[in-house]
Amino acid sequence: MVTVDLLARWPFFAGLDARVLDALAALANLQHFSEGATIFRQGTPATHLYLLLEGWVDLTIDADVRSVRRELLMTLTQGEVFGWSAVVEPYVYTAAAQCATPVVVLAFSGADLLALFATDARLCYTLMNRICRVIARRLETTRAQLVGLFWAR
Amino acid sequence: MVSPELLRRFPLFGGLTIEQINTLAMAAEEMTAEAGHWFFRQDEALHDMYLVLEGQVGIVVELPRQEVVTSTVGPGDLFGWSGLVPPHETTAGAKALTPCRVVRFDCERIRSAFPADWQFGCLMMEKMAQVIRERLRDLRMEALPAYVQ
Repeated sequence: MVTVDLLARWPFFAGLDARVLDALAALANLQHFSEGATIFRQGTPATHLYLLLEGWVDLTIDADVRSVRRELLMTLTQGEVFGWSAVVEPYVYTAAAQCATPVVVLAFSGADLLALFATDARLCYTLMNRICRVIARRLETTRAQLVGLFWAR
Repeated sequence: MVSPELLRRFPLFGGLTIEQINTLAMAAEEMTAEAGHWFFRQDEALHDMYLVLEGQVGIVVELPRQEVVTSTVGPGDLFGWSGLVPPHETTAGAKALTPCRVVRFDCERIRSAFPADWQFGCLMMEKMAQVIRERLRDLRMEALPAYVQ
């Protein structure tokens, strides 16, 4: 059973009141993946959002249309939220997530989160704000990589 | 201000109530810009966001002796989402690539409406997430592959 303590220590869930943390803990599922396992594939329906508890997760994209070559975008470590497309239209994963090591995550169904948001607009605002920050950090990292590649040419 | 009808034309503002659209319209003003005009530079404080009506705007990463246009946005697209999303600091610059007509929104004014209407705040954050996601997809699917051999 996922406890409130397990959630509250992570920045993404910091500062939320007890009632909200209880509701979120009730939605969370602890999941284990082995090294090399694919958590989700690029372009597939985004059903779950994840909080990484242990291990490293590689985010990759298909760099050519036949999906022959994969590019490593970045590697996530504990405390990172990924699979946020589960709460952002059009609810399709923008990258693939693969386990670089054995991995432990908290999985949240996107549908459950959206249903919770529908009952608590202030929570929706707070968490969607944090989701924006997560996506913005991805954008900054990707831009920095692009700049690095540009210099290397 | 701009007319609410102008904003309602854009899918970006779908799902908002009449009152919420009016709040946006009251916080907005139309402006034109010549090609080469910087709406904002990278790493600046920003409290405005923009909707393109006409023309093309380049999202620009500034290097010491060079500018790299990482995305191009056009009519119906929003840029300057950092105006609405904390910490209100730009992650890139935005420059008019052609003569442009845009709507500029005062984000401090929009944000001040949220405590009385968190649903509005929630909807706007959802829309910002969609915008940033689109920007990320453009970068990963177009710009990045062009530089990886």
